[in-house]
Amino acid sequence: MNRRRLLHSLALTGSSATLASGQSVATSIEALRNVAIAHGVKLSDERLRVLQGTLDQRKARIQLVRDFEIDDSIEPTNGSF
Amino acid sequence: MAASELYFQSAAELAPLIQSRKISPVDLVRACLAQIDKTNPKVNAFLTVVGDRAMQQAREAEREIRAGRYRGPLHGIPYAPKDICATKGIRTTNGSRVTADWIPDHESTVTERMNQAGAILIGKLNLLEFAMGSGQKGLNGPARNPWNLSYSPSGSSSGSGAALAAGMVPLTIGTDSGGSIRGPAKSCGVVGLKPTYGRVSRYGVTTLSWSLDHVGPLARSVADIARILQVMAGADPKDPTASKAAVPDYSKALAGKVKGLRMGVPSEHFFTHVHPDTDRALREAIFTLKRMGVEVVEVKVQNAAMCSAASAILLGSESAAFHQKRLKEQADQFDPLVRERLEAATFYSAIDYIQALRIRTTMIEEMRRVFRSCDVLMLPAGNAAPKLDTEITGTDLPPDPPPAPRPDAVNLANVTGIPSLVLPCGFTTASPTLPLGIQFCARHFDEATLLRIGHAYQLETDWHKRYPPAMA
Repeated sequence: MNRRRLLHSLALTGSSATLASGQSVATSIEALRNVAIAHGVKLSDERLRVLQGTLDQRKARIQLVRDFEIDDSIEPTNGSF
Repeated sequence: MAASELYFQSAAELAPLIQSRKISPVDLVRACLAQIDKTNPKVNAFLTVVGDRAMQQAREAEREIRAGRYRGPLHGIPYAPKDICATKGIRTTNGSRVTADWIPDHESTVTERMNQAGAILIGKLNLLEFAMGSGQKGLNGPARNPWNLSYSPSGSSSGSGAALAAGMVPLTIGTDSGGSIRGPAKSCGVVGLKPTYGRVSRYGVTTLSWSLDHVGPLARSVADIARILQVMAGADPKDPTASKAAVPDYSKALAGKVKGLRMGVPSEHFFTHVHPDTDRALREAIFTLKRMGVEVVEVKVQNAAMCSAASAILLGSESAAFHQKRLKEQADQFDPLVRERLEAATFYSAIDYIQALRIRTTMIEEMRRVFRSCDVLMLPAGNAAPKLDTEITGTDLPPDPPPAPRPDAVNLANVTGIPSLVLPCGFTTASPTLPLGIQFCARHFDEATLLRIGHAYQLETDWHKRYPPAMA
């Protein structure tokens, strides 16, 4: 895996994800494998095939978060009220 | 009093009998153990029963009460926590083969406070593995709904709801990160409270999601919820997220009037895909509350649809982080669906997570805005209990699922940390007869208003007094 392919794979599951953009193309097993490696996680191809379906089902929900427009002044909550 | 008469009494009904020595804690514990023996093989609510220990504690309670040392309204009352609360020296499985043999060397704060109040631990309750919303196989198979054993009690605090409905114990403890107290309360026809985030210490309770986890009580009545919350709530040096906000006298809230109380009812979003039975029951409840003097105010919760989306990323990321080591070393020991959910979170980015936290900030401010125009918010608690599928393969979403009620109605309170109470408000019309629930939410740390409206509603109705005939 070279740097170019890694960045391409990360782009597929990151904020500009083809998968998460709701387009019908599912992320390839290779792309998922590259992202998992980049995140330090070892997953077999069998596991990746299961997760491919799971992520496909969740992409609309994840995309809601990615598309939500938030004012720059809004900070992540620290949990105190 | 015959043992069978004790099974479905609330703690509020039992306490004066114990204090006046009309019944003994020994008889009460014995009755609970008998009911567990009779119904648990079918309901599977309990994973562990500590009968000998409970009887010993009951005899101690009896001696103390005879000597005039009555500790309060929970003294001598049996209870059981979800098996995710560490109990020193007693197996705590988290409903998982991963920790099936774990015997903690420490006590969770919530059970320690119950024990100090004189409540008697009867055993540990079944749950969905590690409190995740999936994984019905778990350690010992799923708990079943006492109203119909082919149906789910809902989860993840499945045993906490089922044990109450089956008359096994009058008080239980659950946890709620995405509806896991309120779902079982609704499906089992009992009362469940998800308190304000930080109202109850999470020390000694296995983490699902640091941002969304809440520990809370389930019981047969709102009056009982007030008593158990009084014991559980408060600061804890062992849990830095446990709030130092003053704990009010919750029993005083029960005496409050509801005339003039403003109840917000959302005009859109939350009531999509609500079953006609649920819709009818909620409308009847609104009618009852209006008759009692509650003012209904139409409100709108902006960006409500973001709650379940943000919750999914927060819960997924945090649970994956918590289980990272276990997932590397014991992946095969997890329920397949739990493992799938944990591994899927690998593919969320840090930006996704931070955005979810910023959505949380946005929604907290939104609820502050909503509560300027109402004192309590009414939401659906979901439709009636689903059928219990013992074989779930592949992913945990069946193909072409029927439209489900908006999960945001449940996730809203977890994401924003506001307290939320679910109580029974009716039953399904078609067979099988299953309970229906109504949900109320309030401002942060205003559990008192929830208790006030919930108790007032229960004085006017008797849904909470009904129990499954098959369990009697």
